[in-house]
Amino acid sequence: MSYLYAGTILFIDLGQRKISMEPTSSYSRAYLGGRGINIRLLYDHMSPGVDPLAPSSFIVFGVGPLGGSTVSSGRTEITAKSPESGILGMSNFGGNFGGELKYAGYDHIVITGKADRPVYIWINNDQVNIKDASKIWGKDTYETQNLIRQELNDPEAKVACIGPAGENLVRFASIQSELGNGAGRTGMGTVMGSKNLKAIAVRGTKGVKLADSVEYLTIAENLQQALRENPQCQELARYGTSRNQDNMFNFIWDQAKGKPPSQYAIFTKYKPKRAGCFGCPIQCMDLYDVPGIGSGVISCALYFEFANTVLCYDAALSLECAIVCQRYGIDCISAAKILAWLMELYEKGVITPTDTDGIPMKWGSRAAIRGMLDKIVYRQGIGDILANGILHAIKKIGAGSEEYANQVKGIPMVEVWSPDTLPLLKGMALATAVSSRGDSMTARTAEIEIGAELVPLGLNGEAAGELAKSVREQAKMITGTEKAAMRQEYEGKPALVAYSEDLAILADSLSTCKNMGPFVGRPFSPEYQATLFSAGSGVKTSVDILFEFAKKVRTLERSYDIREGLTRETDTLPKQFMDKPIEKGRFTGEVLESDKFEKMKSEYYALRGWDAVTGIPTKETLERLGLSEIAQDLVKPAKLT
Amino acid sequence: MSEPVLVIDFDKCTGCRACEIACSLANCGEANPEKSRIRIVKVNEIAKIIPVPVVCMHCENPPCETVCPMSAIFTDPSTKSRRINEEKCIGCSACVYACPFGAIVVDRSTGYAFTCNLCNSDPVCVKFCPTEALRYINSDEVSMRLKRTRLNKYVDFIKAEAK
Repeated sequence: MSYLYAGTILFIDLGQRKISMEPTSSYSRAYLGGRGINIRLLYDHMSPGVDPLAPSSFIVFGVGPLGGSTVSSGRTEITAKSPESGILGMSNFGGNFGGELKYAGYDHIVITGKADRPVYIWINNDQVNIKDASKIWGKDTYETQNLIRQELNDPEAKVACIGPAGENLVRFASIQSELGNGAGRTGMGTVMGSKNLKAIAVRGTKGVKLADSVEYLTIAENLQQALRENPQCQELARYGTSRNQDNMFNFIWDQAKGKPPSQYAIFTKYKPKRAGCFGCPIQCMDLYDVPGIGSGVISCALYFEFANTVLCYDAALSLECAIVCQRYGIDCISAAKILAWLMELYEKGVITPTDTDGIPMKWGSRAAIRGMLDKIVYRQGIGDILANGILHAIKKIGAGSEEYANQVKGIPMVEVWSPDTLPLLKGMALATAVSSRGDSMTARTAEIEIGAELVPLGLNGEAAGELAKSVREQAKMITGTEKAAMRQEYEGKPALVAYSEDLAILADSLSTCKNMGPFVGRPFSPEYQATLFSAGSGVKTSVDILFEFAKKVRTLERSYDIREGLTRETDTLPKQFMDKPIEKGRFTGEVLESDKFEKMKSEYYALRGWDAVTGIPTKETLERLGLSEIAQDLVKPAKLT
Repeated sequence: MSEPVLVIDFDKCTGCRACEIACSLANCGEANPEKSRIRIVKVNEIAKIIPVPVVCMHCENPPCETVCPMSAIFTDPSTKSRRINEEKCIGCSACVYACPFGAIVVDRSTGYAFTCNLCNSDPVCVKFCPTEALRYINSDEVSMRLKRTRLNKYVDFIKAEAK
C-alpha cells in the first residue's frame, strides 16, 4: 500500500473485452505520476508508426499523486498519439473526475482495442464493466453524462465522454466532463471515438491514504490561504478568466486585428456565477445560464476563440458557440482557428463562397461561424475536409493557403499567435516550435514576457507594477539574466522555456493546476508541491528532485516524438513568422530572425542534454536519466508522415 | 449566553468541495469525500440550481439521538455537537433514516456512525471555505443577520421600483 497513490493501473482491451491490473508502484518511483507515467505507459505499449485511430493504438488516462487530495488538484491527464499531428498528443481537464478515479482505486487507465459496438466503461470501485452505449451514441456531451447517470441510477457518478465530433472522428475532438471541463487539444476525443468508446463513468469511495495527514492538512491549509490572499488569484476569483485575458493580451489583440472590446465587458451582462474544479478555492470558471442559449461553464480559450479569433463580438453568438463546442466535444481552439483561417483566405480573395459550400466566410458572421461548425462536426460538404485537420485542408485548398495557417506540426496555435504577434515574444516563439505536442500551452513564457511589459504599456495599475517586478526577478533567478523577461531579447530564452516546461510537467504529473502556479504570480509553487508530496507520500522529496523527474519526463516525451519521426527541421514555425518585419501597429519593424531563432533552438537542445544539432537525446543524457534502454529506439527513427 | 453555530450561506457556495477534503483529512486522516462529515450535493442537470452543502444541523431536538436503540449518540457539552459512542454503536443505521438531512452516515469500513463534531469548536471546513459560505458565528448574530437580509431584499425592491 503506497501513500498518495491509489495503487493500481487499470488496463482495458476493448476488442478482447479483457481487463487487467498492475501496481502503480512499478512506475511511480521513476515517473512520478499523471503525465509522467502516462508517457512511459504509452512509450512502452504503443509501437512507433501505428495509426492513432487504429484499434492497436493506446490512450492513457492518468491522475497524479496529489490528485483528489488537496486544494486545486482536480486535473486528469490524457495521453495518446495525436490524430491531428501524428506525434505525441496530450491534454488535460479539471472538474471532479480525477479525484473520483483515485477514490475508486486507480491512478491510470490504459485503453486499447476497438469495441465491436459503442460502449462505455463503468468503474464502480472494484467493479469494472464495459457497457453498451448504442442508445447514447450520437448524443452531445451534456446529455450523455446525464443519460449515463440515469442508466446507472447513480447521480454521483463522474463522467468523461465524447460528443458527436469524437464519434465522427473529427481529428480535433475533445473529451468533456461536467459543464465546462474539456481536454481539447490534439484530438484525444478522436482516439476515444475510434475505439467506439463513448464515455468512462466512475464512482469511488475508497479515498487516498496519507503518510502524515496532520502535516499534509497544515500545508494544504497554508496553501489555500496563500491562494486566497494572492492578488492575482483574487482577480481571477472575482472576475473569472475573461478579465484576466483582457489584462494579459490586450496589447497583443490590438496588434492582431485592431483593438477588441473587453471580453469581460461583453459577457458580464449575463451575470455569470463562479464555477470550477474540485477543491479549488479560486473557481476561475464562469457558469452561465442564459434563456435561449442554455447553461454552460466557460473559461479561457472558450472566451477568446469565439470572440477575438473569429472577430465576433456578439456576446450571444459567442456564448452559444462556446457552449455548442463543449456539447459537440470539439477543440474550440482548433475549430475557431480553422474558421479564422478560412475567413482570412476569404478576405484575401484566396477562396470564394464556392469553395465553402456557398457560405461567404466573413469575419464574425453567424453563417460562417455557427454554420461551418456544424458542417465540421457532422462532416458535411467542405466540413469533411476541414474535420481532417488544418494540414489536410491546406493540401486540399492549396493556392498558397498555407501562408495564412498559423499552425505547428498540424496543431493550430493557441491564443493570439500569428505572424503579427508571435515574433514579438522570442520565448513564446521558441516554446511553440519545440513543444512536445505542437502548441505552446506546454510552456508558459508569455506570462513572464507580457507581464514584464504591462507597466510600460500602462495597463492594470498597481497590480501590474508588482507583477512586472516579480516576473523580472523570477526571470533572473531562473536564467541568470533579467533580459530573459524582456520579450524582444533572445538571451536567456532557452533556459526560460525549459524551466517553464518543467513547471508544466510537474503540475500535470502531480495533477495540480498549472493556472494556480508561479508563472502568473500565483502561489501553487514547486515548493508547495514538494512539501505536500513529502508529507503525503512519506518520502522526503526536494524541489530539485521534482525537477529531475520533470527533466526525465521531458526527455522521454522528446524520445517518443523522435521515434515517431520528429526532427530539428519540424521544430519550427511556418515561414511567414520568420525574418518578416512586422508591418503594422506600434511594434512595426520588430522581427524574429531565423539565425538567432536557430541559435536559441540549439541552445535549448543542449540545455536539455540533447544533441545540439539534431535535437535527439544523447546517449549520455539517457543514461544519466535512467533511460538507457530506449537509446536504440532513437538511432533510426521513422519518417513523420 | 449565545452559542457559536455553523452557518451555511447557500448563495455563496460554489460547490468546490474544499470542505470535503479538509474534513476527511482532519477527521479520518485520509482524503476521502465519502468520509467527510460535510458533503456538497449538486444537481447535475440544471446549472442555475446552486450546490447544497449538507452537514449536521445540530438540532436542538435531534432525531438521531432519540431513535438510537443503543443510546450511543450523545451531545458533547462543550461544542453542543452530536458524538457517537463507538463502544455502544452497532451500525444499525436507525439514525441515518431518522435524520431529515442525510447528515449522519454509517462508515461501512468501521461499522460505526459518524457526523459533524465541529472539530472541537474550530471547524476545519470553515477554514477551507473560500467564499465564506460556511461560517462559525454566534447564534444571536445569525438571527439578526437573517432579519437584515430580509430587510435588504425589501430595500432592493423599493430601489428597483423607484427606477
